[in-house]
Amino acid sequence: MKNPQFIKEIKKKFGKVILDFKSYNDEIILTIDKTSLLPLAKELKKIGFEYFSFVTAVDYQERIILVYRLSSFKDKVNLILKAILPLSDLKIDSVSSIWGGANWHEREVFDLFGVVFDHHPDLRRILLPENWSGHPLRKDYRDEDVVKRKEYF
Amino acid sequence: MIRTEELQLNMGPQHPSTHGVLRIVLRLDGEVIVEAIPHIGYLHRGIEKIAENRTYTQVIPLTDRLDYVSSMMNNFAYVLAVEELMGIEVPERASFIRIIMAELQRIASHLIAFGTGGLDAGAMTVFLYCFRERERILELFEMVCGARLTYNYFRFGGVSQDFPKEFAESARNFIKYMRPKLDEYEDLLLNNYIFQKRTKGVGVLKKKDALSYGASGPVLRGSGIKRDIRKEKPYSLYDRFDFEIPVGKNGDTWDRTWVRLEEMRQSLNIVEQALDGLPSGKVKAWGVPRMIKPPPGEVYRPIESTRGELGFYIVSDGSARPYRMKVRSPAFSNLSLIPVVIKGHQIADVVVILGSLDPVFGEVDR
Amino acid sequence: MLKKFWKFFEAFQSIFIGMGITFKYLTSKAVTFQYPDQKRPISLRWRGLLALKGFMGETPHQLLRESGAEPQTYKAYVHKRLKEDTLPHCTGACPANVDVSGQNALVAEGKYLEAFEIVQERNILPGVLGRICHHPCEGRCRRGYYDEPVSIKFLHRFIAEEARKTRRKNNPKLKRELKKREEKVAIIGSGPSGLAAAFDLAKEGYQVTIFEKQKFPGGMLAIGVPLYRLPRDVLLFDIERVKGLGVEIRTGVEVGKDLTIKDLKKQGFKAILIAVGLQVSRSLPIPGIDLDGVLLAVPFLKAVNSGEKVKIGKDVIVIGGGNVAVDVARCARRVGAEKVKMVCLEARHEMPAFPWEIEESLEEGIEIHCSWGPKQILGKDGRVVGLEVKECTAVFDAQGRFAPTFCEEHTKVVEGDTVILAIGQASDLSLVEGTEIKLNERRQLIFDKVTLETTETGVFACGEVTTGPSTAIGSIATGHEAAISISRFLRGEDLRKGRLPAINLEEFEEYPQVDLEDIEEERLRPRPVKLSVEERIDNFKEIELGFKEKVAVKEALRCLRCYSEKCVGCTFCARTCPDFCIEVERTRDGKRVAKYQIEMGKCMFCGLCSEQCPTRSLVMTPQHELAFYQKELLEYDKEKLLRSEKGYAFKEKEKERKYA
Repeated sequence: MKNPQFIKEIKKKFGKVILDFKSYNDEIILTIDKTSLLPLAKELKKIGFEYFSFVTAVDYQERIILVYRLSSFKDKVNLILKAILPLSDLKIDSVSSIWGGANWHEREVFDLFGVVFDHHPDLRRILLPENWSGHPLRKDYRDEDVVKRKEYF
Repeated sequence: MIRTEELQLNMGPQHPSTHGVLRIVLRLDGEVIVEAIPHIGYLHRGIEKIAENRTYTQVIPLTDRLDYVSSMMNNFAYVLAVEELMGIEVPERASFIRIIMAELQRIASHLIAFGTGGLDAGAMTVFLYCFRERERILELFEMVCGARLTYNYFRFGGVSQDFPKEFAESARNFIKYMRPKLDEYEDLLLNNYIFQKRTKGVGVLKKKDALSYGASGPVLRGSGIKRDIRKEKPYSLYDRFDFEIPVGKNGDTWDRTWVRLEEMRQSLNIVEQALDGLPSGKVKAWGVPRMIKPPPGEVYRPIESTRGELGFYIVSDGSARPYRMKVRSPAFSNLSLIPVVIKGHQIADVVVILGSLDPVFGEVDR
Repeated sequence: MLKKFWKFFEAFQSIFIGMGITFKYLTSKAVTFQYPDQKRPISLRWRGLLALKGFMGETPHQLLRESGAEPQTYKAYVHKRLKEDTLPHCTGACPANVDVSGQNALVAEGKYLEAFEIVQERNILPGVLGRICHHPCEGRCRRGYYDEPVSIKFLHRFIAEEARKTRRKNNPKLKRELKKREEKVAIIGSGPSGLAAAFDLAKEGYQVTIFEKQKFPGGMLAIGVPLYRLPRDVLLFDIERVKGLGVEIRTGVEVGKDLTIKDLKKQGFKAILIAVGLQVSRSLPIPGIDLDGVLLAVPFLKAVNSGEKVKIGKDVIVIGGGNVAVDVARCARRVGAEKVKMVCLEARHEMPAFPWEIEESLEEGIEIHCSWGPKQILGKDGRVVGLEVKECTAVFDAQGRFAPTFCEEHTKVVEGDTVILAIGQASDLSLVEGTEIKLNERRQLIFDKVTLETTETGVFACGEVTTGPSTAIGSIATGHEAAISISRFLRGEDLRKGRLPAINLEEFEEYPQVDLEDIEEERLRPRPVKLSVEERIDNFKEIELGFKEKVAVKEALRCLRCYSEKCVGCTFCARTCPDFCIEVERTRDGKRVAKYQIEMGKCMFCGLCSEQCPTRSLVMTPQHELAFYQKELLEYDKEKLLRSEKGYAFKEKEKERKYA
């Protein structure tokens, strides 16, 4: 780890909300509580994580995990931020006011996973037509037109 | 006073200058753009969903269809991610071949961006020249893997087949041919008075916006940020090669075009170095099973593709099919800058600015 | 007059010019626009339309038939295929280069006897090797990349059983075609290498006599291989066939004692082949070696195998970690020992014995003490009571040579009343005394590595004398080489001209084990029936049973016939296709391809299917492109392919595809 100083800083400030912390080489993986995303994001941007790479989601059936990827060019550190959403409450604060790039990425996650981002300026479907029903990247998504094929190995 | 009214103009989705199927709704005040709302998704094929129902090997040809003007890069990024997940080591020769292919692909793809960028500003000749040169690269690719657009050339642990005997000589001839051409294009387009008038100071992208919108590749470097994953976090064997990162000053359209031209020069250098140092040996690691079953886990491995940071975020659950595959496409992030960059420009500049962002809709829509 | 004509001409000038142009074009062909004959040159690796070169048919792909079936031409042919990268890996990995895919194809067709002929051409003892071979071929079988390798060994065994049932000793055609030659050849030793050389020489018409020291032929196969692995009637049947070609086997004659090499020469033998093998067990220079109850491996095995009573105790210690040691331990278990312990220098993964042998011996309750070296044999009243061992820290030095290092302090005592030494064998070369044949300082034969000729002209050597401790199939391979040398020598030809080295086993890497989860059961290899430990522990019944006919045919059909360029309907292309556009089906008996359908509308020309096609019959062709210019180049006709039973010949137009 090249910059242990700022890890300490994060840990001191957000020690309560960080559920899991891993780091190897120049990659950090943080798992946080979803309610504290916005203040943490503001802090992260202040300490140098200016570059917003992407946000995506992974459907683990009983919960959806949001994955944010941020980079700090100053410290040459990459960060993966994970927020756990239970399937019953798919709502989280939008970070598009902090990183403008989150706007489209959050729309994509909304479109394909159905995660609702609060305070998003323009939360519409982005890739699929407006009148589409369902969220295709969810594991429980079923489409009647899909032809099941024999699974070969 | 004359009462003016705002005009809504619909550009696309089928429009010769949108480089694909992009629709932009423009709100105009006379000729000046007040607001631009892009609409994408016209080429959405759900590749991420398809990949969840394919084995890992079967996904390789799918990645070809993402950014179809630089398929090698997509292959490269995907294969690297799965190799990291599996812990496969790639033979040295295969790594060299991959780098040669990737850099040639960068030239081919930048030639399109450069040529069509000129076309958008009305320079027809350079567009035709660029496509002529690109044809020579495609012939090299065809010689190696038999395909001209969707190569499907990379495999886990190497590449599908070795270079044919004639390749090295043809590639060297190409480099010799290409170098003076690049100088010619610089004169023809970048030093052209009309082109400079059309592009200098047009579509300025501030550093702050470039960072927070996740811009990458020539768009980011055009804005003066020196970031290249090949140098920052070298993958494959890029740390063995000597090359420079061109960086623009003002972040305008001209800078982005210049960065592309300069990158082509650097790529030629890399290809030449790789051809000189091409080791002998195998091109495919032995012992890679037919049915790839990576251990459970996740990986994100970005590479510096033609357009910027291209990465595959793969989650494996230990089965033969990826549990989740996310494509972090650089063109998607770059395109999301449109509303920011276009604002306040005239309608004729939309086409030029869009050309300099170089979106490929196979990758934007996935 | 002239003026008048000129005026007339002037008036109609435009008409005449027009007529002139019309006539000019009437005489020439009407052409509006001509397409060029040749357009872009197409690269050799062009990924265009998929085409099948052919389907599996009646005429199987046989290396042997294609090469002309002569030992010399066969080897050259195999090397040629290796260079072209079209040699099936099983054949390449076999020291004797047995034509495995030919055998499998013939078994699948039901032609067991023909398959037998093909195998015995390179492997003179199919029945024996089908039981005891260490099968390097199976590790490199292409099928092992997809699921599990074909049971080549058991198919050898199956065809040998079929041949034995019909009591057919030799191909009658072969015997009819024999040319008689006058020259006499003597072979000393009737082990696998001697028999292989005798077979090859007898086929060429030479008068071959084999001299055998023991009362029965077979060499180490008869002495050393335990009965539970190789019933003796199998061996005798295989030897009978060699005899059937006119080879005389004189048992009970020890060359060097009863006869000398000089005597043989006097008797008119023009060439002599030393194939005595390694028949003397090595001893150890440790204290207590002369105690009562210390035995050597070879005499012990010989006694056990010939049914003599052997005196061993209840608690036996076997020193050694090789295959012979395992055989000794398992035999000891069968002749009455209640406890058998093996002591070897190597760690478990380094043991030279084959892993499946170790597995079976562990099943039979044999203890293995790894990484221990013998220090001294403990005795009491002249009888063995145990073995003191010291820890072995490393067996091989940095260069990989055998140089064990011990930790003298760390010792333990293994109790036992009998010690059997199985630490390796040496050859007894006392027969060379009084001749010009030279030995080196370690009393090993000096010979030419290529021609196998010793220092005396006309005397050759083969088998384990030349290779050191080896396997049966390795010995047979040297036997074939020696036969080539002898026949060239007798005809007065150059021994070295065009001789090729044996194919290095490292050319073909072993496929790693495949994760068999999720794989359909009918794709896996059948498991041979084995006697349980209780059934086999106190007798010499054969442990593994062979395949029944149905199983064998099914197993032979699993063979992919690598590089045959004829589709075998293995369905792996369909399994690889990302677009699911290939449908392959075999007929119900599995012997023909019933359906091969490519939906060209779906295909995206990724080339994954043709890349992994084991037969190389599914190829990417530029034909789709060429068809635009020249219709006659389009040869792929699916209907024609499907109608033809024997497969459709595909002509490749290499020249047109050359990259300019």
